[in-house]
Amino acid sequence: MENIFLNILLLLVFLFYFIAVLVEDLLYSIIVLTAGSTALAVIFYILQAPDIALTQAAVGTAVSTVLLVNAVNKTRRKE
Amino acid sequence: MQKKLALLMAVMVGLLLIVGIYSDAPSYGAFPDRPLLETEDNTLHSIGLPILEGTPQSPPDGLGVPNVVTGVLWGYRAYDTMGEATVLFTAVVSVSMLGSHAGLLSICKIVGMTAIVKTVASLLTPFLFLFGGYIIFYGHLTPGGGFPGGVIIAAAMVLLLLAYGVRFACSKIGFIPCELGEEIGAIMIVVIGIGGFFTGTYFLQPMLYFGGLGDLLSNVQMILLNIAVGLKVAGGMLIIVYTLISSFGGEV
Repeated sequence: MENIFLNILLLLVFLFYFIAVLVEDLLYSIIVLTAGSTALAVIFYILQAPDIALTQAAVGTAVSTVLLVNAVNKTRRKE
Repeated sequence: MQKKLALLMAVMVGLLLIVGIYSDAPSYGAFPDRPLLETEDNTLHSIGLPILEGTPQSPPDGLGVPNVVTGVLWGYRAYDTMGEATVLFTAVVSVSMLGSHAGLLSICKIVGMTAIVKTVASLLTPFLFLFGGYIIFYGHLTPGGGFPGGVIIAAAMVLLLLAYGVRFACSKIGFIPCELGEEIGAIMIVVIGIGGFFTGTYFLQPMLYFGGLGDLLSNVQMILLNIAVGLKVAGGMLIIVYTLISSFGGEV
């Protein structure tokens, strides 16, 4: 059961990052990246690394998103 | 063209990882077969066995912390943590060199968000600070530690910044407290490490035990290290965010 859940999450990470490369609008791309890193945090939690999950959730969703949105704000939004 | 190439490379690396996972790695939940070491008295033992058995014991024998990962990160391999802190310090220094922040903050317009976002942010921020502090101070007993706690505190400030604008956030925790936190944290790590010399252990090795396994003060050195790294990470992250937002023009 856990194995199936883990594989679904791995596929989700793959899918999210795939979409993040494909999307033209960089702002959408950043939001999809955030979704991918949330799925990655859940994977770390399932693999019994709660401290890494905490760090991944905090860095991947909060700090890196703000930095990337700031970078898009100062350059161009479309690719 | 470039995009398709990047996509192709990403897919190929992903396939390699999947092949690696399903061919070599131990199956989920299985304890890996570790290579055995031969000691002087001709007995075989696993490489990580002293750490695995020694960490969750009461202080004179072990470290007094229930979690082996915590014991490795903040005790046996605290050098590693110091190296990570150095990496963060280098990043902060390079960002500060790229964007000077001295006079540019006054140019930034005050652009807050709507009343809904402001209310939610003002209600949520104290609890985020509390959660970050909890993760830092209980870092030796529960999962977490200085790095996640510091990042959560920085994220709480980023929430305030997004809701009320950068000048409001800087009036609460400005550049100077961030830089002080960063530097005091860095100095604290080294001082704690040197303290090991005076108690008869090595640099950054655990010392100062008050209480048994799982007590709050079971390993005071780890608490101090967690506080130092938490200060350092929170200050460093905030400096990076403030500098990148307030320099190079633009409105936030």
